[in-house]
Amino acid sequence: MNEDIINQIAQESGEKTDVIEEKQVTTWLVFAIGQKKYAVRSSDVLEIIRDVAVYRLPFMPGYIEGVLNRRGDPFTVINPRALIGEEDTRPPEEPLFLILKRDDDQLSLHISDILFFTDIEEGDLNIIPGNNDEGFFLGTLVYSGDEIPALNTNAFELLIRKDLGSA
Amino acid sequence: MRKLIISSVLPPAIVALFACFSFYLVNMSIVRKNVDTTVDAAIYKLKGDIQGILQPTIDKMSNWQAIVKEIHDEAALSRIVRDDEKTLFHVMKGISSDLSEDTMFYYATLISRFKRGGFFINSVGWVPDPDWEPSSRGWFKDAVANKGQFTYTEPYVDDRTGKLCATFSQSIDDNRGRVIGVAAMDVMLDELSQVVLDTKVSERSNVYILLSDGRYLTNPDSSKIMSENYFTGKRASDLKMAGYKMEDFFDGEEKSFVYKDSFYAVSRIGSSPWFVMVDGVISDFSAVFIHKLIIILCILLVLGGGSAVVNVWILGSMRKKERGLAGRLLSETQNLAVASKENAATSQDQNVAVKEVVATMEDNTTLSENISEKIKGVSGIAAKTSGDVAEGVAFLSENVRQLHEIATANKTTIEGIKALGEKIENIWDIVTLINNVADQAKIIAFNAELEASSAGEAGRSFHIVATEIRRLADGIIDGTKEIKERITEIQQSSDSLILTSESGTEKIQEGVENAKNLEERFSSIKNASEVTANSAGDITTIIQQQAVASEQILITLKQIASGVENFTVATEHISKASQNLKSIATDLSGSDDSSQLEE
Repeated sequence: MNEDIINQIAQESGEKTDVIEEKQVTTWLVFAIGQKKYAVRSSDVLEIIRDVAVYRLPFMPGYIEGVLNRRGDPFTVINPRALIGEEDTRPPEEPLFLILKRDDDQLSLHISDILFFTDIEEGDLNIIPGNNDEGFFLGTLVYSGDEIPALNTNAFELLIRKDLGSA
Repeated sequence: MRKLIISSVLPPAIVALFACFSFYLVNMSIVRKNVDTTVDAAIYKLKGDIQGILQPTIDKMSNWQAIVKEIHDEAALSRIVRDDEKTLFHVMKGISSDLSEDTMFYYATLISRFKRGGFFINSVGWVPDPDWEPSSRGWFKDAVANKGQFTYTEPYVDDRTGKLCATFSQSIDDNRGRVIGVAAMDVMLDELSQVVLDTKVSERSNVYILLSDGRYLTNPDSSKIMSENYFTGKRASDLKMAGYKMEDFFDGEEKSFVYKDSFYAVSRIGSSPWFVMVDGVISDFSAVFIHKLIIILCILLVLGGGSAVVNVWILGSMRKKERGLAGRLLSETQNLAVASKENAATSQDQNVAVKEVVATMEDNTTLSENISEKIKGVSGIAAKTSGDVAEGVAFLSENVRQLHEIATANKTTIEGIKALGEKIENIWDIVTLINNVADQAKIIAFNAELEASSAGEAGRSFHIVATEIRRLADGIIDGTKEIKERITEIQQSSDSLILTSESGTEKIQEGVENAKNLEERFSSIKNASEVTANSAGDITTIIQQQAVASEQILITLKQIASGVENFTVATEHISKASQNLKSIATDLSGSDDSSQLEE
């Protein structure tokens, strides 16, 4: 019975894939920091972890909370609030982290909640005109009438490299 | 003045006449008494004189009796008589030596003088006829028949002396009491007549000796002796009118009485059949008194006239003073009349006022009775209230007990709710654990989706499964969230319920306290209602007593009202009397003076 359901879902997905292939759909992961929603490409996210300890590091910029231990690998914990212009710059209280998928760096964002995945066509992404790679926002996407800012994960890596001089 | 003289003279004259009449009556009474006394004294003296005449006869009889008893032996007596008859004669002669010559003393034996042992002797030597037998004589028979007593014969004319005489005889007994003879004595009645004639009670009085049949034994007119009777003619009718018949008159008792203007007295002489009779006229005694009475009357009249003159003089002077006093009396009488009128008006006002007071008191009595009835009603209500309050106190006690039970039940409920809250806390922990698991599952599902996305086309199916798992986790999270909300609501409700219950407990406790306070208040009310009931009873008693007192006051006021009315009437009478007194004073003072006074 489950197989029947899976096949049905697969058929429906296949039909959609056919459409996506035609329209260049991108999956976005929508999450919350405080009361605000943000989105990142799901391809930029390696894993979501929670309930791990953040170890504070001395002499770090304010947006770096510390490091966390992901099954033996250390990841830098970035407080996005300190970077994206929020009035309240304090890190979220919930111990929830997005492990970013980077080729040569290990970064994580401290978020409040993980909400859902959504597939957005490329044309539906409202890109900010004149935005470069150092900007924290790529643009905005619309979901159920809400306009959700889309974060640029590369900007965080570039800022750390710039601030820590490890480029 | 003429009236004054008449009023002065007439009363003393009337008094004098009345005094004389009274004096006359008193004197007549004294005279009658004096007549009785005098007649009694005269009869007593006459009887003494007659007894003095007859006493020697009695003494002779006694001496002879003694002598005969000394020689009681009949044989001896016969011998004495035979031997010396003259000796016995001399003895008898000696005994009767002091007698008059006409008086003869004699003795006859019971045995005939013609038989042996029988004899007859006498003191005067009288020789009887040869055939004369003593035992055939009346004096002899009477003496033998009345043994030991004196007997009397009727008066007769003595053959020997030719004088009127009577024979006294007595039987002679021996020492054994047997009659042996009879001694007798002839007494001449002229001696008695002389004694009677010598006796005088008053100037016109008569003294007689009468036989028991009324015949005269003595009389100044000797022709009437033994021939006429005292009870004849006017005297007999007067004595009958006085209530005496002849047999009553000579019944032996002494009598003295006055009839009309005569007096009468009779008395028996000893045991004889003879009676002393005295009669006469009262005027012999009263003449002196009447003479004195006339003198006294004259003296009284003279004194009365003198006193009348003095009275006239005194009354004249008194009249002058009287006129002055009458004037003053008239003035005072006018004042008295005015005062009486004012008094009458005042008493009438008082009468009206007292009647108003009586009416008010009657209303007051009615009000008191109404109050008494109301108080009785209040007393009944108070008693009922007391009972209701006692019942209320019992209800309150029951209410307090039930409130205690409610408080205990509420406390138990609170503890149960708290225990339920603790259990809900445990559920909360479980739900939290489930939520954590769901979160973990959700994260795992997200990661699975990420992995499926990164796997590309190969991870499409896995991506689908991960998505469903994520949705399932979201559903669980939503469910746990809802459970948490419900639990929170339950906890809030529980807390609210606990707070409400605790508040209810406090309220119940306050209710208990209030009920206790209410019970105390009700107890106070109960006591107060009992006191009220008792007080109402006392008030009822007091009101009843007050009603009785009011009735007493009312009765007294009615009596006062009656008294005031009487006083009003009396005042009117006084007013009229003062008017009369005024007219009297006017009359007393004379017309001229009265006109001046009236002016």
